[in-house]
Amino acid sequence: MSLYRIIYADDEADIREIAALALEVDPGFDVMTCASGDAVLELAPRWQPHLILLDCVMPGLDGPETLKRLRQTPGVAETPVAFVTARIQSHEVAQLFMLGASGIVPKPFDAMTLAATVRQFLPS
Amino acid sequence: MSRSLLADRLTVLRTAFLKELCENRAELTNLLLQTGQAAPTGDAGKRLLALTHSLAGRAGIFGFPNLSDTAAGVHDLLETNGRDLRDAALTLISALTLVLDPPPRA
Repeated sequence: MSLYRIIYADDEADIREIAALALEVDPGFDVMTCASGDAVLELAPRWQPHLILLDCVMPGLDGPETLKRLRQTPGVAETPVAFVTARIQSHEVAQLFMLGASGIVPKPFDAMTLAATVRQFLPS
Repeated sequence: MSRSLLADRLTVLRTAFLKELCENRAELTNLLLQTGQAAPTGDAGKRLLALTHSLAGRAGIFGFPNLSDTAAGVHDLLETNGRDLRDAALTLISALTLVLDPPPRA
């Protein structure tokens, strides 16, 4: 089975832990977590993830700004990025897709089904 | 990671989250006691925004979707300056109390 490397970024420690555990229910997922957008920009080029999940609202670099910088980072410029967000108003969702998001995970998410939700954002 | 191990860990984290909710309620109550009938301003507003954002995103994950919804609604109204801070704090305290001290079922 292919092993997909996934980065999950969220400034809330308990949510990072739950998300990592929930994603690793899928034996095909290898997950690393980051507490900030800066940490994602540091880790992603080294680890070469197949997918990056970004909390929209984080102190410092928020999710959208992190995506913009990823798009300028060699090696991960084309890595799929999905946002995890409580902001699910339609115009905000549209803005995230215009930025280049591969998908949106509504927050709060269901830990028991998160892995299945995220699978759809991975390249086949 | 199996689903049962995930469920076990969720239970542990949920207990810690409930303890945090008690602290949040005490913090909000103290805030209102300090300000009396005046609306909290400045740093209190920033703290309320941060707290409502955090609760909106996290409470539902721990099994409290109504608290998530209330916090998200208060957060949106605070962000657009459509709600005074005292009213927001009272709404949040009520939502926290429904989770921490649920009324007995009839």
